[in-house]
Amino acid sequence: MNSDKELQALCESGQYENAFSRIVQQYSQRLYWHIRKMVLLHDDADDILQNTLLKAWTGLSTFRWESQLFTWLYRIATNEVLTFLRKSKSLKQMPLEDRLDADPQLFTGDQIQKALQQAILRLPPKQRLVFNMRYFDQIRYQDMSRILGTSEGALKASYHLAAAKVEETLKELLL
Amino acid sequence: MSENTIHNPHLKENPFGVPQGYFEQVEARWAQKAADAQQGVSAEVFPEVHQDSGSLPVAESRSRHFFRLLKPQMQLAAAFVLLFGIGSLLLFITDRNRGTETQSPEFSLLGELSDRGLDHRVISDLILDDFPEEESTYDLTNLDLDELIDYLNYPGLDLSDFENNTNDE
Repeated sequence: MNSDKELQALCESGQYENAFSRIVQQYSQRLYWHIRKMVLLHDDADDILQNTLLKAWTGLSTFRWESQLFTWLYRIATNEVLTFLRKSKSLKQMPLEDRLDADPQLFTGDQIQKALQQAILRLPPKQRLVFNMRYFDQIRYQDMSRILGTSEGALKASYHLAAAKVEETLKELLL
Repeated sequence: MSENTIHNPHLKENPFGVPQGYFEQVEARWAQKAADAQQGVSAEVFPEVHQDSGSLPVAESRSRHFFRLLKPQMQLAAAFVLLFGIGSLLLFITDRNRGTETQSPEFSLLGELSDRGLDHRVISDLILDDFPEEESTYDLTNLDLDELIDYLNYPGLDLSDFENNTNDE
């Protein structure tokens, strides 16, 4: 596991390519799942991951290493996801509700897991982000605050509200 | 604890899958791109730090990136300046020619009179005074027959025939 300090040392010595390869090894899976839970389809998640990594590469020389690298990467990925969702809404692409059934080979969950995903899909995009990051990835509110640029208090309130909504919808769906 | 609540640990498991070997492909793809950039092969993939003689210093790299971004805008601005310059030059040339060709003495006089505070109606009257009065309609009864015959005289005309015909009537 490469710490931020090791990666910083590589960048400061001009070894950007080496540093970036290690970043991809270390963070690409976490970033992919963060993206995939929001857009649901593998192909879209793959495109967004490539864009995220490309932006991370082009911005790596300007990254100041004052904040954690993973919060910076998550912020890029989150912005890419929100941009994609805005565009896909305006382009009237496949609705999110239909995406769970679009590729059965790549959704291996059972009935209750599918119901949970359907319940999460009823949340607004930003609340969905907060719920996914806390519920599935157990990201600390402090880090979420840096990623999403929102106060910790607002994030806690948003998560509890989202959790209550999901719980209620889940019960409805599984009746 | 009920199964149908979000506190069910099973629900926190990842229900999504990826094509086999996907993450290995992603890592390999980016590792290859990084290696290419290091060797100076793929300038498009890593334009920020790529150069034949190795990585650029960050400040230089940033300034080059900045100019690369500005290049299309600069080209557009240069095209506008060029068009504006050509247009201005053409206008200047045509205006100068027009000025020398169309500045007739009448225009100069009108301009001078106007500059001296004369009303345009006064100027108009002054100009019209110089024209002859419209000629009144000629009275046909005052026509001199000899003058008319002289006017109509042309080679081959026999004046005696003309006189005979008029006498017959």
